[in-house]
Amino acid sequence: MAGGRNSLTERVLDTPEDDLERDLHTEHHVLNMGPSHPATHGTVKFLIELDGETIVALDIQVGYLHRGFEKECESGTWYQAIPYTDRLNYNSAILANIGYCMAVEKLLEVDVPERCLWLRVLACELSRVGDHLTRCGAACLELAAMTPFLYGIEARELVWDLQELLCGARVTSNYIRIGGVKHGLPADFAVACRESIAKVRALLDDFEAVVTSNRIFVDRLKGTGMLSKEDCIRYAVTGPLLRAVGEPLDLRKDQPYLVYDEIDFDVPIGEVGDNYDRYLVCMEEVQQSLRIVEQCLDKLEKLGPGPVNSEDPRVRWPAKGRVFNQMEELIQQFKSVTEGPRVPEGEGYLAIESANGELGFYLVSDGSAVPYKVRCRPPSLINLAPMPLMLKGALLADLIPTFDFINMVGGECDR
Amino acid sequence: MPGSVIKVKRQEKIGWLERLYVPMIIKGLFVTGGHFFRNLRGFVTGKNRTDFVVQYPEERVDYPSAFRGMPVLVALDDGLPKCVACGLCEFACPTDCISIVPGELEGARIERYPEAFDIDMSRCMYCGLCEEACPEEAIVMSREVEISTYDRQSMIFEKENLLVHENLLKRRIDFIRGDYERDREPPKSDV
Repeated sequence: MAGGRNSLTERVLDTPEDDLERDLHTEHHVLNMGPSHPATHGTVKFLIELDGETIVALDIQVGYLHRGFEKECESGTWYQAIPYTDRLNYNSAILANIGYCMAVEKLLEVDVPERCLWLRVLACELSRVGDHLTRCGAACLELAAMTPFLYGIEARELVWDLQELLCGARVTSNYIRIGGVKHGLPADFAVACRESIAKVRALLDDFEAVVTSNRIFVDRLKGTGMLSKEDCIRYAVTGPLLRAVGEPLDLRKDQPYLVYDEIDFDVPIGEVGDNYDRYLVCMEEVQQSLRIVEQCLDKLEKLGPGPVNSEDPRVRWPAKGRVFNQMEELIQQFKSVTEGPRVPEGEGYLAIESANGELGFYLVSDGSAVPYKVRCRPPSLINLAPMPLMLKGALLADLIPTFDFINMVGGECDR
Repeated sequence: MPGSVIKVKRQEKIGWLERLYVPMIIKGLFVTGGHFFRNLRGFVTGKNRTDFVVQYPEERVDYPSAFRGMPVLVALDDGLPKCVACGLCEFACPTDCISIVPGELEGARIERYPEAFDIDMSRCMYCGLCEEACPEEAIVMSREVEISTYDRQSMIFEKENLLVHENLLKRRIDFIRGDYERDREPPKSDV
């Protein structure tokens, strides 16, 4: 081993055999993905430890969209929290509206008229369609399929136009009230709704024709982001993620609220619980939701005109017609706006099936007109928790569809 | 309970046609081509347009009657506000963006009026609770949404900027009036 060996070939040839078999000295690469990354809609940061392209460890950092929703709700009356619930899951604002208002109604022990229940289901399902279409459309976009994204978003736009017709805003609907809804069904709604549903169905067919059996798309989804049934239950995962592993938990069926027990709809479940199952479950749920919307329209037509709000003036602000003409109602209006309903002392939890899973509101009242505690159980946050488990040992590229089908929404997750 | 649990149809095996990529590309082109020609026909003939794009700001969509834009004050024929400065909207507003200074006019038909009525539009979230609370139909949600500015100070709208004549707000006021009797049983003849 004297001098004169300066060429690389010589040196390599000279190395003892066991030295050659030893790995190169490598370190895991730590990658910061986010908080603002084009492939992760929503502000969330991933700290990914990579071995080549394989994910070794994953740390999810949420909280970039924290606005103090819970505290904000406790600073105003029970009524004033309703517009804030719009800003939880901005894809399906009405679902959060309904969750909050029903939780308050549970504490107040008030009933709403039948017509209102059907209206709420109608609004609820329109919202769910919009949410699932956003999820599936955006997932396609982030897997580089622009066309189905456009079809999905076009269909969502049709649904959001219906929401605008019904509630007055596409996204921040602010439609549900404690003890009722803001106003009844507009006269031209039923016709417009049926027309739009037909268009949405046609667009969904095109959507499915382009991707559902497309090998490029299927290869990206099949077998990625798997989560076992046991892990799902361990992490309290709900919604389409849980149904994709074959567990038919749907609060609309298992704990029927509103009038879901009178409506004919199916709960789709998957087999193995990968992203492909999640995609299929979501697409089927859109079809089921459209079915529910049609049943609601039929039922509302059958019920005919009628009250959509609770009769109790302590709960729901009096109708304007009375406020203008009757002294007592005017006084009541002043009382209920300046103070709002006084919710009896106690606490209660109410959960509804939102598009992402179980959306619950846990409310504590000290008997005053201001909530003592408004706690929201956001499905996004809880479904996001097992994501490192889903992606352990997976490729970096699998992160994108997995994250898309978890459908973490910043507003709801970070509150 | 009607309805049941259904299992989604999972294509475990992909057929050889799908495995070849090319037939699927052609199938995809048929779908996108269908959309393209339908849109083109509508674009050229101008009838039954199926394309979704609106050439804003030259073209605008007509918002539905329920639409909530920025809140404005209803002005009467003499240009005075209908508002009597009772302050209910101030109470109802979740973001406290309304501030009112009440004043009184001796001998006028409507004695109370707002000396100042400011809405901080940078905080307003168009929720419409002010309109719902108002006992005078004096503050309504207009159809105006294009109010962006370059600085925060000009987002504070004062009374003069908020006054809009009643006739211009007719559509919204009619919409609110349709809801006057919402909690009453309808007359039997309607059913």
